[in-house]
Amino acid sequence: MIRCLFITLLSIICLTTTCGQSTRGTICEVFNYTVEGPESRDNPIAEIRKLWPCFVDDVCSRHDVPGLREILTRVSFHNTDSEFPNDVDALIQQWNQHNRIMEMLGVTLFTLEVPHKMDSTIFVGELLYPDDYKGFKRREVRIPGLELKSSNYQRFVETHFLLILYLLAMELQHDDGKDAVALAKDRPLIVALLSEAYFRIPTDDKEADKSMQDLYSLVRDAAKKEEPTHENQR
Amino acid sequence: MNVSLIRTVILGLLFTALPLSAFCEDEDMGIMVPSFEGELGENVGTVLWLKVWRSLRDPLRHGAPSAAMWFTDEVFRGDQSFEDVENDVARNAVAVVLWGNTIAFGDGVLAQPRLCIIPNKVRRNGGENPVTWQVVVSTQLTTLRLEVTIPQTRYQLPPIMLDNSLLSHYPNVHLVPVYRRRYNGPPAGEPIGKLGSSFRNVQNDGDYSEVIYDDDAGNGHMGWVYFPELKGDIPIVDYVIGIIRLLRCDYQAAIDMLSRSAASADNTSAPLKIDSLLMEALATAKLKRDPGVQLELAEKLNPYLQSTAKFKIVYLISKIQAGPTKNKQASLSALESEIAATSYIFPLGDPWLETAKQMLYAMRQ
Repeated sequence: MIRCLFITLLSIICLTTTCGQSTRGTICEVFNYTVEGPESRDNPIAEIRKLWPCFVDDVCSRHDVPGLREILTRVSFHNTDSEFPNDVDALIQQWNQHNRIMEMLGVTLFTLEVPHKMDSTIFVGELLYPDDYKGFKRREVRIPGLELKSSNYQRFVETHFLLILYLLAMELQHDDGKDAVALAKDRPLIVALLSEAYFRIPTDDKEADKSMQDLYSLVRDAAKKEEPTHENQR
Repeated sequence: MNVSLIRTVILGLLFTALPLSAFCEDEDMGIMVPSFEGELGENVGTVLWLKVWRSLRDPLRHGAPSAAMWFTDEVFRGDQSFEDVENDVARNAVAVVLWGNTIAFGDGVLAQPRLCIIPNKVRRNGGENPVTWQVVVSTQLTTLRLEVTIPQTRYQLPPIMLDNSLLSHYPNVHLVPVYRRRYNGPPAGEPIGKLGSSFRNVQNDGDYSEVIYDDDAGNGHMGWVYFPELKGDIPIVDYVIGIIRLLRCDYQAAIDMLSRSAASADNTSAPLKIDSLLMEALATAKLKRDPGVQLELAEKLNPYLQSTAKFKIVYLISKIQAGPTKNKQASLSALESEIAATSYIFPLGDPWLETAKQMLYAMRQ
């Protein structure tokens, strides 16, 4: 009886602690922005939500890669009130509400001046990591030219695209060969995402944050990695 | 001699000589620029409509498609999908749609334009496909064909800023003010009339066009229309015009516009810049000239783009076919290097790249 109870208890603990290690099948994403200055009558999340499908069409029209639309449309948008909760219980609650993966991308919107400006520092990170995760973690990235000029929500959308690139990088880092996930192995998809990111966030700019350069190197190397031949597959 | 009689005769001759019509629906290729959704959206749509309209030219060669501007009171919603818009125009000859929405922000307004191109809807007399660059290599067993075409058909274009007080004078095409003469800058005098429902373009001069238009009584007049610049509209309008000219086989005129679009697009519109360069390269190849410079520039802007790699491979094959025999070996090596260097961009076993490899092999024999 005690043994049965012990096993049941152990199973519950195991199930609870391994939830963060599950394969990333869904990307749920939280966009977190802070307004500094008077309240803006804009609703960035609503605007981004409207713009995103057109952005996906734009990107997919340029690349004939079947998996691309699938990965881009996995993104969903959740509006949160300015500050993200620091309380662990609250984080876990949000984690459960938003399925398995939660990303956050924070920017600051300065509304003291018109047109409003967006801070070029964005915060990208995974809220909860699997225990064995050794890849990219929370980063603050300065991206030159990412200022929001007037209601340019296209730039907001591009920051979300950057988020997807980060997810890809995380997958690549996490991929130890045993637990390979489809996203990190889909070479045309990697190249298409890299290509799109290359359009939008210049790498040759000296002001670009080193973490951006690292990200590009990682993805570029993965894209150029030699395909396994039939010989070495055997 | 009676001055008014001479004027009437001249106007009559001009009406006969200029075949382009603004609202004709029976054309080979339609271009639709509806009102934008949102604040000042009608005005933005009107200005963009006029800017595209004034660029239309007579077909230069036999069989080239004619073009007509379509006007519609129906507004495509800003968040309407590309598919919806393409379905809406599926039953008519419209091959290019430029639409979008505007967003009020602070004291200003920002327009977010979108563009879809449907090249297969252009009716053509004759076999030439103006947006396809094809190379053919024949072997003893088969004929290999490789082609590149317009790299993208759905665009979310860079935003346009609206800070022009003149925009309020452009609620729709019929109400556009006509002035007695052109000015150096925005119009300083009072308008002499409105464009109305029947008008034709005589000549373009800077930000003005000279037009012939009918008044309410049907009497013809001449005057000047001013086209206010919207901040950020230049690369967009130039690209749209360049594509229209390309679809109409008007290659040199397309090159002029596409090179302007590539030069004026800034870093925030890099995709437009690269596509302008690729389309310019295609038009240059149609004229049997060397498009190598445009392709190098496009590759420099983004080395990971499959469409640029395809264009470059087709270019190198055409160069081998057109070049003197003594340079053939070097050109073949260049093609081989290009295929090897860019193969990682393509999926494993990609049919297009496999055909390119077969062509290389066949040309080596």
